[in-house]
Amino acid sequence: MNVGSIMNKEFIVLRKDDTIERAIDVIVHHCRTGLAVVDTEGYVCGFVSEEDIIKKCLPVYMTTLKNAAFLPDCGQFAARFQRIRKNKVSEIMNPKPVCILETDSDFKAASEMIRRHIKVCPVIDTEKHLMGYISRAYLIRSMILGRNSKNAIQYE
Amino acid sequence: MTLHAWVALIIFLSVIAVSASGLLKTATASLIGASLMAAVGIVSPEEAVAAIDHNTIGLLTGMMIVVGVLSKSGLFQFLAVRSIKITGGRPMLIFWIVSLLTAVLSAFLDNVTTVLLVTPVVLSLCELIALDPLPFIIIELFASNIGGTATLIGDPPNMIVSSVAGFSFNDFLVTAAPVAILVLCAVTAYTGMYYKDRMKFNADAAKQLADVDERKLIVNKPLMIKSVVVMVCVLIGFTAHSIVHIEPSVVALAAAGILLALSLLDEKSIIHDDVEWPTLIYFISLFIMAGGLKAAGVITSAADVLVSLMAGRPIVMILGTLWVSGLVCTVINNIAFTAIFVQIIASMAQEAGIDAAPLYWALAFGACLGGNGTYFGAAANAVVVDFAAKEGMHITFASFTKAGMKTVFISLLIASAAILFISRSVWM
Repeated sequence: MNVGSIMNKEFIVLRKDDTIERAIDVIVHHCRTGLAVVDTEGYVCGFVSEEDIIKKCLPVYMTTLKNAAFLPDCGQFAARFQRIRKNKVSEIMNPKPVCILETDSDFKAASEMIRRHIKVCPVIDTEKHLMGYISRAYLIRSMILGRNSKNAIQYE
Repeated sequence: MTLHAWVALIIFLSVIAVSASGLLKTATASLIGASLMAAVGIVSPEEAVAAIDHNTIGLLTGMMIVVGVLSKSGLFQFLAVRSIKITGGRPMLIFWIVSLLTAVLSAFLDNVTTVLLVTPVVLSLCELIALDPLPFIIIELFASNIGGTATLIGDPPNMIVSSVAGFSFNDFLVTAAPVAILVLCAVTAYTGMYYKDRMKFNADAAKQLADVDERKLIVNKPLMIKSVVVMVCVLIGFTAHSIVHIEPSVVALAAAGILLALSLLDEKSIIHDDVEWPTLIYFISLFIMAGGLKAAGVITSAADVLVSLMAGRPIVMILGTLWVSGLVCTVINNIAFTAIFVQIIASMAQEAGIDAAPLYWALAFGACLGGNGTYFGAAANAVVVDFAAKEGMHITFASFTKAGMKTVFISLLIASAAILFISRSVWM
């Protein structure tokens, strides 16, 4: 089964100069874990995930401190969000996201997503235009739908 | 000089240039350099292996494992937070505590490990009590390089010098540690004055320190107890060298083995993550290149030139070694410089017929203290400056060099007085 036939075709995207606050609004409103950043011609030029946003709200020293349990809560997380919320999406996006071709198989998409620990990734055509999204949820959904197809294994 | 000597020198200088320019990582560049020296016949494979200082490599490897396991217990960060907490948030006290603590840790751990442990604690607590972290980060950097000067295991140049000069752990405690303490006090006082205006006490924010619970940093108490016991045994082993005659490398490697057995941690992850393999490859390659330069006659030629320039002027020889080492190591990696210059000193002393000890001390002091001069002087500098940049504090090359060179100047002045005092009893 190719990815094009099982992907989410809702065309929800971000632009490079959107603010981080807007990115959060769109992600939360559409219950997504991440969104593609596209240019005016629909080419994928980046990807912003929940993780990218949360990382930006955490201090860099957390990468080596590892254990923050000793610090009292004085609103550090919220304070950092306030500092970055008007920043551009382009500052936190991954400029070289993993993309899946719409002609790729679901098997290839599944193996890429597990190997690279990705929850959702953009699906593109051969010219790198965004065509939709494939997520872990959609992959699982395709298994259920595929159960009723002619080639599926017949369950008891 | 012979053709071989010129080829060896060109290979070595190219390795330094390529590493300094960032074109290749130091380990990669030096591995290529060492291989080239063997390939063109400057050293035979047997000579290359013989040139490796196994004592230094063993000491480095053993200490990497011991410190790696000890770090996992959370002890060092517990100590850092506890020390800062007792200051009550008073900036100048924190400044001195950060300096002293970093220097003490750095005397026993490698400098990069020290700054990686202390920097996040300093940044997180500064954020908590609304202090500008820059002065504390800068003094931490300076203190890590100064503290490393104090002991045989504090900084790699000391290990290299001690291996060639035959200095023991106790020799460093008696000779280098007092110099390091003097330099640390002078540099901390000067830097404290320099940044006085940036250290504003915020009484309300400082109250937050009372809610810091540093005990939560001890993530593995049994491991901490075992590691501290082993570390104390290591230090006893180092100091008892003159009685038991066991090399520091053997003590460190034995301790690493015992700690791995006692820690119950995953052996593979410790050996894979905590042993810095690129550093070991860099050292091994450097020793081979130093062997190549020696075999090709470059070391003897350099020593001839230096002896003819400074013969009969012992004070010029000592101060020249100290200041040249200090200033060169502000821009060039002090490990590479020491590995070569220590051989030149041995050759110089032999030709001039003098006791080389004061020259070895001058090299050790210069190479370690010079690291504070610029970004490139020490690996810890680059790590902290990069950290600071990611936290939005952009320390420019010019501003770092301005503060760093003043620190080096103060350090070398104090070291000059100390080295003349040391040499008085040996040469005069």
